Amino acid sequence: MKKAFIVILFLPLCAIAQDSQRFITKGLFAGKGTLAAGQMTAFKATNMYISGNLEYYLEDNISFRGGLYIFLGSSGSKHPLSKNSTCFTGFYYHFKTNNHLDPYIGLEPGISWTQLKSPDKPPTETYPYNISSYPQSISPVASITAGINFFATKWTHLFIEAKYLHGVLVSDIPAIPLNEFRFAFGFGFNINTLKRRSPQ
Amino acid sequence: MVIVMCLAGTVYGQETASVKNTHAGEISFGVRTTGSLFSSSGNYFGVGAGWQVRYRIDDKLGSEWFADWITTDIGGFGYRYDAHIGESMIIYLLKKPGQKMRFSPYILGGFCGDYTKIQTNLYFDDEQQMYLKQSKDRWSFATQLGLGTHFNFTERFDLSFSGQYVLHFGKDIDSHHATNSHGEKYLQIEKQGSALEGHFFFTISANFVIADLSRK
Repeated sequence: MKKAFIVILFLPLCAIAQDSQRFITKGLFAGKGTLAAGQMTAFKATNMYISGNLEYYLEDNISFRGGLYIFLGSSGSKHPLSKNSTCFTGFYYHFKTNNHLDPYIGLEPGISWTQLKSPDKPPTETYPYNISSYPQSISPVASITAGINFFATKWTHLFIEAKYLHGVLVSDIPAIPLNEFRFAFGFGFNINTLKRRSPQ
Repeated sequence: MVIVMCLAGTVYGQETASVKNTHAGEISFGVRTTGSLFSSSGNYFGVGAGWQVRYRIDDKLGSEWFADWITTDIGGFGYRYDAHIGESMIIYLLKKPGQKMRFSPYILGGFCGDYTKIQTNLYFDDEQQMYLKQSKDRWSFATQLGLGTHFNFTERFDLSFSGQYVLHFGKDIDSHHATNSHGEKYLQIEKQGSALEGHFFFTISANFVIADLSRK
């Protein structure tokens, strides 16, 4: 039932895109802003972010992107972080299609601004969380991203993407893994900065 | 950063290497994810991030200028931080490297300047009868040598993988485990004399040609 629903949801996108002007070309400048969720692999915690990025298509199928994830907080009683904002830069490869769908994968190293959450009830916390001085720190992280854009009009697009992030939080207690799956979807703006090539 | 890349992409002309059949004079910008393994602090894997610029001297020879920052968890007892800024020469092993959807294997080697800092976690110090932490750092020079390959997705964009052995020349900064009166293990750091210290260094990078300085 779920699969059928998803297929029905996406069919109109493919149909709309078959016979209209293609926007995914070199020179496309796109920006996204949305809310994102992150599921940490080592903790039962869901992180929440405001995320945004700017992206420029250097070729029809290669883009460069710079992005931010600003940490808003976590849900779940076992969340370890009070700060976990990340800045990424990286390149993306876009698979060629004959419509306005734009599937992509990307490699984005980045840096995370992190801090352990001080315990709500310090005496009840177990070692080593009860002795940390909870310093703020900068941690390098690695990430890979996969997603899909739908360029609905000349100026706007929709997107959905998933990112896996790998890194460790450095502090003054044993390392806390920052490994996390982040998900985002939403709406973005785009503009083509180069004169469109005439069809051949 | 994005604006700079946009400008570079716009300025870059239409004549690509595929037309003129040479890569000499190309300048690439890249992002890199790095890993470090088997340092003197133990067999622990460190993760890093950085950026790089390449200049292609000719089809068989290139240079790579890089900067990165790596953090390593030392077995739950402390952290090691390494910063590298350096340059490697790249010698390509194929007659026609850089062809689309092909691998371009190479040997690379060079030198770099490094900053290393080792920091302990909080531990109970028997002498001062309190929890504290210590850290020591050093600057050093290093040489590196290794193997790598590009995978050329297009004439201007590649994904690169490399592994190098890096040998540091500088002050000896070392760490080993000790046990306090509570029976807890902790890290002791020592900095004395000079020493050679090596580690393996792995890199995955994505690179794009942003300019071509040669008149082809």
